[in-house]
Amino acid sequence: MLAVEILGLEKTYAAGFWRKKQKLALRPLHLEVKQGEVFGFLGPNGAGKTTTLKLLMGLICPTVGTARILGQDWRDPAVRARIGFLPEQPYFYDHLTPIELLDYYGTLSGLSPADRKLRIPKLLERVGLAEQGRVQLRKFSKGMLQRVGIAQAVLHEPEVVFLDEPMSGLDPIGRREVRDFIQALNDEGKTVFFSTHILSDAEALCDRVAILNRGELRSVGVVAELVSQKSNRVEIVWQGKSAVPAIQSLGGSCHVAGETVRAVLDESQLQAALDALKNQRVRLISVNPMGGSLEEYFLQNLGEAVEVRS
Amino acid sequence: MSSRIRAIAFNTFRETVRDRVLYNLVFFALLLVTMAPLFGQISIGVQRVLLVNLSLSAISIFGTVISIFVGISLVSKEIEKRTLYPVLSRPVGRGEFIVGKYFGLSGTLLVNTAAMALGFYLALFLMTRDFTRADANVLIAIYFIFLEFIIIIGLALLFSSFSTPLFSALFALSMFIAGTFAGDLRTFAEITHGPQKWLAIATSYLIPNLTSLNVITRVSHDQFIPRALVAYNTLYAMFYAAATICAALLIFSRRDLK
Amino acid sequence: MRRRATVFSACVLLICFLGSFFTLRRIERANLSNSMEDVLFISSPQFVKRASLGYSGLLADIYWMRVVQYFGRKHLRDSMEYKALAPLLDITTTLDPNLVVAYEWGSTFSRSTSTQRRRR
Repeated sequence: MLAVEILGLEKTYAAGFWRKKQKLALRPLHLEVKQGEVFGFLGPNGAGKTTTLKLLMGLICPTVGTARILGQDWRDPAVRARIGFLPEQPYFYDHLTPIELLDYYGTLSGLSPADRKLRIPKLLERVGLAEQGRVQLRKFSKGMLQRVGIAQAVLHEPEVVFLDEPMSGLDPIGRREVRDFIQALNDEGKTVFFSTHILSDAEALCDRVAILNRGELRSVGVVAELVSQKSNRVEIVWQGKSAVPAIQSLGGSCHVAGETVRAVLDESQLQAALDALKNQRVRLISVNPMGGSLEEYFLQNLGEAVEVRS
Repeated sequence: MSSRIRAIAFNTFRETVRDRVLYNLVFFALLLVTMAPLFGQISIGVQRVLLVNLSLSAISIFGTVISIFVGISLVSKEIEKRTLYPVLSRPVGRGEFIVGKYFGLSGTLLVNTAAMALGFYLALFLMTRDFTRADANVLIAIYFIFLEFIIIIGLALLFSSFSTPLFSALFALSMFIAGTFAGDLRTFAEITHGPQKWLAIATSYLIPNLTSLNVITRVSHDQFIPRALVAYNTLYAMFYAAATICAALLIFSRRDLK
Repeated sequence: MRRRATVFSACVLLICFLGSFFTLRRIERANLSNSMEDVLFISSPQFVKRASLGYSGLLADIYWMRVVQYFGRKHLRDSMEYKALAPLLDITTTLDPNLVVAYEWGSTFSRSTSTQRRRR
């Protein structure tokens, strides 16, 4: 049984003053997510990632198409008890405390009072909010809210967890913690489906990714396979500005910072470049094959500006 | 299902109370307290009439304002702040959500009205040092005011399920004003001739009938309120409120949540 | 399944609305509401005018309608109690001194009541 099957989900909005214009948010999407996978849903802003998640959660209705989650119709309320959802930039009731919030959500998810009493403290500790259990949510920072969001998504121990931009707005420490958390969820056997536009995170975590752009699915595949596609570029770092023109004449692009130069050029020119540098007697720092990164693949295939974080 | 509705209702109540809605009780108390010296100037008989009229009108106005403005924000705030998403991604039906919200706010207004009623009776006791049979009559008027609230909350929910907060407030306010003159509108409809008559009659029955729910003056003059009216008003309010909730449900179930 | 829920809700809506409609008819038929005191919530013409916040014309029309309905009802029941008539007319004409019909019919109403009183 597949965790998620998207069968031709499409979403068109009626736009314009008289609602005559059609705005296509998502072209007919076909996608499969296997159980136990960490599946990344990538794409620039406005690609349709959030639209897809909202469709799966039943927050909006598709124009055409259906989906199945854990083998059942995605609209079936019984399915909702087995999935968890973290919306983008979550916001919760200002005047509630995390304990009260999780208690409320737990009741809605069908957990018994005993269960809730048991799980909530443990969960808060797991996301690092044990101390703030009784502080009202309006006093929480963005990172803390994100942690509350993750907590509520996994409170009822769902089999599939859907996260919409879980890393957004977090500092590097926070992001690292979320990454570890996702990995931990996966280790527990849960399926994780998360959308992001930060490629390095996807590269590190995902078994497979799907890339969306402008409402259309561009490619799906195992990260390693997508990434190994030839890029033919090489990066050379050295010290010595004098060599810059020589390298540039070989078709390399140079970036100078003080005395250090970083150049990127075609693999075929590598030998010539190294010769030129040797002639100039510069101090070579590193030579690295470029590409082999999701970012390269992304830029090549989409040609759009994308965030790169490491 | 009922445990979820109860949870939503309780959460709505809690959120509303913590949002300091009950502070209006402070204003009510202040109002009564500042009016007290005025009462000293007049004869006892008129004192009582004035106190009843003033208190009950205040209860009605304060409560109506809360019903409209908090009622509207119930749905629209949740959509705007997206606090709705983690709720609806759980096994919660949209209908359960609306019903839960409705009972939550009605509960808040029940507490609010009860507190104000207590304040009123305290003021009455301080004034007359005695409880008469007629004083229990005032309770009926307060009960009717509460019935008004449950109708208005239903309307506020209905409008906010499909329109923006501003328009919802306008619609709800308009319905309230129209409802206050419902009796006159029905009279007008009956006087009308021609093809518009049916339209006028239909409209006059569509708006909430708040006229029969307002017995403030009668009660201030110690007039008897027939039991039948209590029964019919209760029935009417329940039917009307239920109708608004059904409509809200139907609309909200279809709505795309941006 | 969703369709069934929709149809069910729509039926409940209709039933509730009809319920409210018939209950309201019942209230009206039994004439349980709108006693004289309700109609004359505030009896001072000057106060009503001030409270009308500039909408005195509209309020005058409303009061006039109440005069008509009131007179019609009382007349039907052949009651001698026309206590509210004079104050109602007073308020109407204060709110809108140009509402001529109020003066015209007002005099007719008053005359017929005094005639009836004389007959007794």
